[in-house]
Amino acid sequence: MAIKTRRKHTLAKPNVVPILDAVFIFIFFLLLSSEFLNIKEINTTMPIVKNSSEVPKDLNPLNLTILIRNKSIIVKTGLNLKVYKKIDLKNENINPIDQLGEVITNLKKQHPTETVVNIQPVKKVKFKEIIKIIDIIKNPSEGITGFNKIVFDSM
Amino acid sequence: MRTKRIKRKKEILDVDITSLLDILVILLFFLLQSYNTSEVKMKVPDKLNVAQSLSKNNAKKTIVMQITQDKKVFIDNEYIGKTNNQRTIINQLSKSKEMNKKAKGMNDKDINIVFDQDLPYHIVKSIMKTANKAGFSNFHFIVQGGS
Repeated sequence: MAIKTRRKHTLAKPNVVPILDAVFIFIFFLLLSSEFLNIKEINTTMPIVKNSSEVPKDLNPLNLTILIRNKSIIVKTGLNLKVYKKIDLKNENINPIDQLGEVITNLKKQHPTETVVNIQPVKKVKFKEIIKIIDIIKNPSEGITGFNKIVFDSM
Repeated sequence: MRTKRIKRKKEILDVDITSLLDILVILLFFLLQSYNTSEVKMKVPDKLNVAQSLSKNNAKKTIVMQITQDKKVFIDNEYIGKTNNQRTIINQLSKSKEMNKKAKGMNDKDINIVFDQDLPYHIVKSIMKTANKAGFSNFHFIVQGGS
């Protein structure tokens, strides 16, 4: 007859010491190598002057130009730079950034192949304001890619 | 009188490290999230607040020019002079360009520019003009992502 032996139930504890060692090393490595500045970039170029032979045959180009004034943003289009929309920055009823987003979205839907936008800020406009506007021009609304080639006015 | 000695069983001390592990995991996640994947490594000088942006493009390694709020110009972390000192800036940019071209074979028309967020456009324009005179035509504005 077989004799049943009773074994004591012991809780199995995993040895976490090596994991802790690895985590510690990883944390030190990250602490030493990390920069808390999340560096990103926005590409811009100078205006390119083309020869008349290189000018595309599109007789009605968008030629999107955005003038950034202290109190307003003026969106101009076409070869004759006709005013498409003037956005008042001091108007408290409507968010000017949202309004610009709508304008850019509409223009992109009308001209899906266009990618270039000329930006002409006035002297006193702060750099952070220009960046805000560039962000909207590039991503006017969710799921829509705006105008990616940013060109500043002539040097 | 003899005092009675109470014999205690010897127990192995078991340190509870669960809470410590929790903290470490949180710290690890925080560090992993804030890890900078960009190739650009730079020291940010005083009075330089980098503008916030929604851009998701990682900055590429090339010459870095920084312009602080008090119009001081740094090229590759080295102080060069004020923004109105165009000749010195152009000379330094040309030197850095040649060095980078020889050493790393980088695109010699690209330049990373870090402007203080409150600088007016006329300073931005004059810096771009100066950089252009040194042979740069692709300007990469360095911004702070994740806003």
